[in-house]
Amino acid sequence: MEVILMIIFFTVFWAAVAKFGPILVTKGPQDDLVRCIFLLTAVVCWLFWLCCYLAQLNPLLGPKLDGKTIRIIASSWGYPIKDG
Amino acid sequence: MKICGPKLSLCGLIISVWGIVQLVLMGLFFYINSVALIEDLPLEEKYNSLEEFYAAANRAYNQNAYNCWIAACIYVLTLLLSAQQFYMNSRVTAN
Amino acid sequence: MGDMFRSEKMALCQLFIQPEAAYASIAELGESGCVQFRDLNDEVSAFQRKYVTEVRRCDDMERRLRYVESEMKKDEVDVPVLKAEEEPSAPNPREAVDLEAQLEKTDNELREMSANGASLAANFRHMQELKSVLVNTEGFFSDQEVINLDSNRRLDPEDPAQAPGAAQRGQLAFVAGVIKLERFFSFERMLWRISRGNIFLRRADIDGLVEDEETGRPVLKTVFVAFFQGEQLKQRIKKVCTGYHAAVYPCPSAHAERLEMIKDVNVRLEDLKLVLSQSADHRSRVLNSASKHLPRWSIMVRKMKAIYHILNFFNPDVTGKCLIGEGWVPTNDIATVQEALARASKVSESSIPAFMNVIETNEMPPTYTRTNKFTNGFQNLVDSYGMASYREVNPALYACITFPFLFAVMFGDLGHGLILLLFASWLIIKEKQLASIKEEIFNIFFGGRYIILLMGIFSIYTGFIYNDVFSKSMNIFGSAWHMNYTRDTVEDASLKYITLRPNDTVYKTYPFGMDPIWQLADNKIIFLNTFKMKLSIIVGVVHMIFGVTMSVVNFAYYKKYASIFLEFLPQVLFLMLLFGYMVFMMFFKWVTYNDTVEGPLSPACAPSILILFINMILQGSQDTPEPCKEFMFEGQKSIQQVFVVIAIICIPWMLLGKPLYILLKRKISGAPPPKPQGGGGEGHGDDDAMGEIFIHQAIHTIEYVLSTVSHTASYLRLWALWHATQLSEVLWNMVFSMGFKYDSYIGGALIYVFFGAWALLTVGILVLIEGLSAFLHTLRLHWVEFMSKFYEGAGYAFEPFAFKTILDVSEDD
Repeated sequence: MEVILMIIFFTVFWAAVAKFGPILVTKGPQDDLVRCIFLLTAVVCWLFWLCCYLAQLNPLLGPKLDGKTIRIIASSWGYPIKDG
Repeated sequence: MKICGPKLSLCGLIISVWGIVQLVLMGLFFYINSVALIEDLPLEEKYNSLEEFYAAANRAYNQNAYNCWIAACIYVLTLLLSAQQFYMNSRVTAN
Repeated sequence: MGDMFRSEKMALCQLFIQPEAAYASIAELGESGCVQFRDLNDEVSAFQRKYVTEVRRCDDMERRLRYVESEMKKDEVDVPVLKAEEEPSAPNPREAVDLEAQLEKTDNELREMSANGASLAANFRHMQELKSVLVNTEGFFSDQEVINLDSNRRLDPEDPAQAPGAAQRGQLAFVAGVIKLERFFSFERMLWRISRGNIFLRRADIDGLVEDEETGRPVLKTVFVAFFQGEQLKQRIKKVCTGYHAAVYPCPSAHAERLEMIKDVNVRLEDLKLVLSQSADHRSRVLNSASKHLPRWSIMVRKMKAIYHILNFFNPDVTGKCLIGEGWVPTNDIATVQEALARASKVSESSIPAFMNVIETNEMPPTYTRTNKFTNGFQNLVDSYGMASYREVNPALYACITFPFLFAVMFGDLGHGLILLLFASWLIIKEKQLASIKEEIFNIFFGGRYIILLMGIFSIYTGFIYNDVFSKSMNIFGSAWHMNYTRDTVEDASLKYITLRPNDTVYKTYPFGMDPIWQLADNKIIFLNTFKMKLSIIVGVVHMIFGVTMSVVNFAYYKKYASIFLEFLPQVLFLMLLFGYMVFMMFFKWVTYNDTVEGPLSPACAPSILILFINMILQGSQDTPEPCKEFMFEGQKSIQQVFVVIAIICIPWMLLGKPLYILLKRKISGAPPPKPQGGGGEGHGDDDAMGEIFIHQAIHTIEYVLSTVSHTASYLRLWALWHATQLSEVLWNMVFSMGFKYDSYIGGALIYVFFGAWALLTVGILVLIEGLSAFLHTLRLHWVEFMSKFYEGAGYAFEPFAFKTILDVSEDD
């Protein structure tokens, strides 16, 4: 569910960029050019994000960490090491 | 007094500004024990206990944080020197 | 769509201009710069054209201008730089006559002055040399008195009238003069040889450097006096002197006479100095006043010459009352041209206004794309591959974004992107000041400043997604990998590495970009490689499908509707069913396989996409252990078989479809048997012989099929070049990291040093060299992989007659 929401959010975001981005640029004779540029930007950025998101959606392998990294992560990112 | 030419002083200016910004930030990251910088620390392979490791890591983090800030301060000096040189050079060409 | 989508519509126009208004009309058109004139007198040699004399007059004026300019350079007179708004228009004929007269006057004045100046200067030099001869010989003669050669004094050896009469055997005569020091020694030997040793030569060097009369360079000179006996010897010595370019000066032997002469020479020298300084003043006055006009003059002359050059392209009417010219005009600018013509006929007060009409033609018009400073760089990248055919879809429009994006996929690093962005912003903010710099390498960067800006912005975005800032990662949203290890596990000495399992952790995907934990992982290359290779293929296939789709727009525009079904459809099917399907499989694998379940969807069972794809093509299969399945979903095998069959059908479809269609069309219309050489019809190939069409289509098909495979593989360079960016990690660990290894405050100084080195190497190697290589690979991906799908590039550029370009070009010379 969360995944779907995330994908919808970013899709809507980039669609908004494509739709409303050209408004930010002052109107001029190059209007079509600006619209085309924003559309393409939105498409490539969305695709790039999507690939990165989906590639990590269901990781098939996990990171291989050495001892000191694990210990630092545990303390800095707040996963206390339990006794036992 | 003029030591370096216009190009070198400009180069010094840019590197100093960059150095100040980046080293201050990196000092901050060392100070808050940023995980990304763990590889750069001088740590032993083995520690007897978890506490000993954390103490060593903390010390190394703090030391490097201060070192970064010291380097940033030296870059402030470099910045002043380069700025003065740059000013001298621009005055010479203006005349 | 707008301006960039296709090149502008062009019209071939015919201009009818009254001869008296012709000059003014062309001048106006040159200012507006929107007509490309065609040479209607191609067969006429340059000497037989109508306005040859005028062109020659302009050449003459240009020559004079060059002379005046070179004189100014010699005297280091500054020529003021003309502001763009002060540029004069082309002179009207009366002004031209004035200009010519003025130029001639200045030129003649300068020439006369320099001739006079040269003779005066030579005179002055001679006087000076004479003076030094007189002064320096003083010493020799007093020496001689000691050797008791007093008879010498009675004679003036330089006086030919006296010499033979009073010459006595045994008396000494002498020759005095000046010679270059470097020649003196060989001169001395020569004299010794011809006189068999019966000569006495003395020398005294002149202090300081003297100007050489031939070259004008400063040289060392020396005064010499040769004493000898006999008239015969004297003649020989004089010959030797001329041979060695030694100047011989009269020099009286009597002391009093010499003093007299020195006085005389001094007076003359003073006079000469006065004259010289006065003429130098005059010269600088003339040059200074000319220098104020020079830039205007040279622009006027250049414009005038250009106008007559264009007028030579015109044809006189049979009646001789009118000049006819032809040229390409963008249809949007026809009104501008008409206005210019109207203005010109008003100025020249001609009775009949010039008029213009559009004529029909079969010729391919030139390609003209209106660009602004933003799109110009991208358009240049496309044009350097090949100028678009007339009204063809313009890839530059899409390159504006796809180019920086593909670059950024390879270059992606937030820090490096920021450096690019700052550099480009500086270029853009200081645009006005920097535009005047004429240095070549700088100009390349300056011309591409908007490309660099976008490359920087996109690199920042991709760097953010890759989570790379100078090879370090940021943990902004909180890593997805949680862990709950106990002290025992962590302190276990036998475990050097611990591999997290998604199954064990409360896993939530990192929402934006790469999870920061991978930066620290030992197996990050393995993970990132699979991700980036897939990413490259996905981006590549999307890019290529986009390219193939563009060809539809071209076919529709050129009304080749049959080609949509006979070329585009099989092409896009072939691409989609093979590589598009592969992309689908990648997404499918990402979504379905995961570590939280057991059985056929677990990581151990995840099939390799590449092997699945190869098996699909070769109809092979592979054994899979239980509980895994060979295919990812039900019915995959049959779908794949259908896809492959359709893709294979596409090949003969591409190969035979178009030639058979042409054959059929010819049969139906009953066209005459095709000639081997077809002439200028719309779209070549329609009139070619059937055999040629088949061969052409066969080559085309083979090329497309092979290139679909090779181009897809070629997009893997996106991944390969990203590996080169991994160098930034090496640089960090090898250089910058050395500063952090000290346990004392000395580290501060070391960090200072290592940061400097690291920063320089980052800019020099990673940003500059890696940036250039990524740029070149991006360029290739556009030129070869993208544009080959639809771009013909067989056009020629529109080069309008404009004073602006003419003046710019001559400034660069």
